This record gives sequence, structure tokens and C-alpha cells, in this order.
Amino acid sequence: MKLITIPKPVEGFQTQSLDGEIVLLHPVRNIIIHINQTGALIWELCDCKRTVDEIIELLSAAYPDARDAIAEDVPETIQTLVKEGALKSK
Amino acid sequence: MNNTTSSLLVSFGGNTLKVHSNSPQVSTAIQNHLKHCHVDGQGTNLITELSVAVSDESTFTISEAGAVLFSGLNYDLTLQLLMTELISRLVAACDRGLMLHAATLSWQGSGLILSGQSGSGKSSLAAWLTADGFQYLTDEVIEIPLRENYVRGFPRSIFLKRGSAFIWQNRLPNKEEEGEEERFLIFKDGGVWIDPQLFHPNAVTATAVPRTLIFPHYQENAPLQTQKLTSAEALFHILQTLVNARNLPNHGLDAATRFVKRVAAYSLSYSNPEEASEWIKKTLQRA
Repeated sequence: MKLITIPKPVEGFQTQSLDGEIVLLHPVRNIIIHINQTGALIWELCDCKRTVDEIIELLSAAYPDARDAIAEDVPETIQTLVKEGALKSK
Repeated sequence: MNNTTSSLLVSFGGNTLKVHSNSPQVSTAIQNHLKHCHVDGQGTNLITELSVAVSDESTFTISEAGAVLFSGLNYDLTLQLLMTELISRLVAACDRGLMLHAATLSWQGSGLILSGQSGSGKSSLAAWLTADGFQYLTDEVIEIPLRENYVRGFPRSIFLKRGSAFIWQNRLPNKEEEGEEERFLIFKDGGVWIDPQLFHPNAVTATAVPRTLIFPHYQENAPLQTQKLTSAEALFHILQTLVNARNLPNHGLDAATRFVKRVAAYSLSYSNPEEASEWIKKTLQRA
């Protein structure tokens, strides 16, 4: 699957935040997704404007010690959320 | 052809349905194995009527409001489908609380919910725990009223498939030979309906205050494995067992979130119900 450049949340999801984690529910398409704390940070930054590279940069600036992990985690998480139907390309 | 029809009201979740049958055998079995359910129908909405007709000695038809749902059934399949259909109608009509696929028990006042889809092993664990002295609410579906802190079970008889026969064979020895069909019904495929009171006389209770939520997963030969779940993980799993979301405000998301915040949640993989039961008791004592 080709990685998208600017991730955009798919319409129709209800969001519930709990202790830094997120549960997404799409009642029409019957999709339920659990996002852990790391994934939740990434999800919150997917605002239809930021590119994947910009999200990596933002998180790397906030957590400089985790720069390498962030560079791997962000594309992987976005790809997973695209696959599960929560994100799409702008 | 038998011309005598008997009727039974079955209520759950604020709704009632009526079951008619011209088969005394079916009527008796359904009455016996729903006898712990609230069946007077008072104060609830009558949502539908299901009818069972026996056309000769051994062929049955199930209809709803005059339309045939199933025909050409044998006795065993008639009972099993009738039970499935009546539960699904009651559950789908409920709009006053969350309806979850779950077995539920009570242990020294603490409610234990075993939530999962068919095949997760919740009925087997519920039977084992009932035999161990737990009080039984249901092995199939619960209602969590939106503005209450208790759960109510649909207290049909415990249904065990053939693969779980070792439970009743160990805990109710000789039951197969006793001919006590009104409380113990064995099907030709080896499945059984067991009145929970066969395990102990005080086995059934209507409500419990939930403290612990477990998502069991039966796996042959698997070692006991448990994991504490975050509230978000519990919510993710609970939403998958919520069967009346479309009737609820915000599709039940807010109510389910309030519920998972009130309980301690775990996943449990097991193959040995005795081992699982011991872990559950220790966990409830700590809760």
C-alpha cells in the first residue's frame, strides 16, 4: 500500500478519549478501532493539513530521544489507520 | 394434529413477546427452561408473537405474525431456533439500556461479566462457576440500564455444547440417566440445557452490581493467560458485543464508556475452566 502524504480522518467516526487512548466508532460502517497512547498522538495531528513528514517532525521535536522510533511509528500507524478505514488521503 | 395451543409471555429489557405452541412437548420445554425469566408481561410492550406448529408428530414450523420463519424442523432445532429468535427479538427492541452478549454471575455481592461472542467459552465458564457456588444471571445476554448501576440477566437455562459436556458430566454425575427433562434437556447433538438450580438450589439471581469484566477466550490446550485491560481496550471489546447500539443515544458510546470506567477489565485465555475459575475468584476478592 502506498503511504499517503496528507492524512485526513474519514467522516462519520465518533471519538472517545480515555486516559490518553482513543476508541473510534463508525456506526454506519460498523467499524470499531482502538488506538493506543502513541497512536492517539498521531491521530490528533492528522488534521487534513499536516503532511506525514510534518507530523514526524512535530513529534520528534517534542520527544527528541525517540526520534528514530517516531520516524518508524508514524508511517506505520497511519498506514494501519488507512487500512482500518479511519484515515484517507486528502 | 394437536388443536390445543398454549401461550407463554417472555419479558426482558422492557419488552415482552408471546410464544404460542400447539406442541405440548415444545411448550413444556420452553416453560421449563425459561422459568427463571420474568414472564408475566406486565408493564412492558408486547413487541411480537412467535408461533410453533407441529404438523405431524415430528415436523415443526416457526412463524412470526403469520409469516413462516422456519419449516421442516425437528424437535431439537425447533427449540434451539425458538430460543435464539425470541432472545434476538427482545434484545433488538430494547432502548432503555445497553444489551451485551455476555454471561453474568454474582460472587459474594460482586457482579462478574463474561463478555464475548458465541464460541468464546463464556457459557462453559458460567456453568463451571455456578457449580462452584456463584449465583447465575445469564449465559447469553445482559441489560445494563442507562441510568442504573446494576445489570440484569436473561436467566434462561445454561446452554452447553457437546464440547463442554465434561462440565456437567463432572459436576452433575448420572444426570443423563435420571430422566429429569424438565430441568436437564439433552439434545441429539450432545448439547444440553441445564437449569442452574441443578448445580445448587440458590443459584439464580436477577440483578448484580458489576465489578469485574472479563473477555474470555477458550482455546484448546492453551495455558491460562490473563491481561489487565485499559478502559479504552475494554470499551473496544464491549462495543463489539453491544447488540442494540442503533436504539441508543450516540449509538451507546457514552453509556458504554461510563460502564467500562466502573469496572476492572481483563482478557482471559484458558483451556481449563477449573484453573480459570480459581483465578477469577482471586481476582474478585481483590476487586
